[in-house]
Amino acid sequence: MNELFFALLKGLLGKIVTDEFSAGCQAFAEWLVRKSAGRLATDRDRYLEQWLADLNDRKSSLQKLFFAFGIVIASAVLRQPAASVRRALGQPIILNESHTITVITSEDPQDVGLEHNMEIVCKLHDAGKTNKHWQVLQIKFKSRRHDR
Amino acid sequence: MAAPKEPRISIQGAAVLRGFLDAYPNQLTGSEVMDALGISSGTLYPILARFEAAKWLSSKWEKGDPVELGRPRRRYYTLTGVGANKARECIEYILPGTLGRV
Repeated sequence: MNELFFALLKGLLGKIVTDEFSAGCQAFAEWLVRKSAGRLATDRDRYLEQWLADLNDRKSSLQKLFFAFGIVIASAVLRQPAASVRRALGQPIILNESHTITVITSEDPQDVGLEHNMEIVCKLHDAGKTNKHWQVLQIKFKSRRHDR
Repeated sequence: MAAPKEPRISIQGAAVLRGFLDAYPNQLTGSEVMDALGISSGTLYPILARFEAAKWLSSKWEKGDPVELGRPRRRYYTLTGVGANKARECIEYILPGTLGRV
């Protein structure tokens, strides 16, 4: 009799723990998707709804979690600055008299319909005949969706 | 308006094109593509965004109101005419002679 009682209790507790875990996974996965969509530069609402719908179609809790972790990576890739902008950071640059230049513009190497512009504001320091150097005051990134 | 730039195509990108070509002209959601090809969401959605920007894929919302559906609307992707041609070219280049056997 006792064995039957403990077996039933074990089954009941197992079910409760499994249900709680499943609900927790679902909530955590949704939270990750919402955060990831919110960090996109554009089309946040579109991707949020699309990703939540696709999350909903994942069958098991683990599948939902894997999906959500993948979405974190996807959103990082989608909002990544252009590779050409990153390359430009290592390039020698020529500055005009206004001390403001646009290093690179209108690049979309990720091919996601976003143009990334970078502007560096610099100031020339002259500490003598040969000691001249530029100080970077500000770096501005701007992204915008281009016409399709 | 300038023509969209040709997207770069990775191995996974070619697999996605193949998946859409097999389903053409039917529409697929991201979830269905993941199930069919075993690609992770982290890889799939940037690929879909690239192909959509290049107009190789088009997408539209599932018909219906999310409130009535009781869930978010799905987003369906399908190959465009240009995309179907490009997909055939791409697969023929990578795996010559395989398209006729499918």
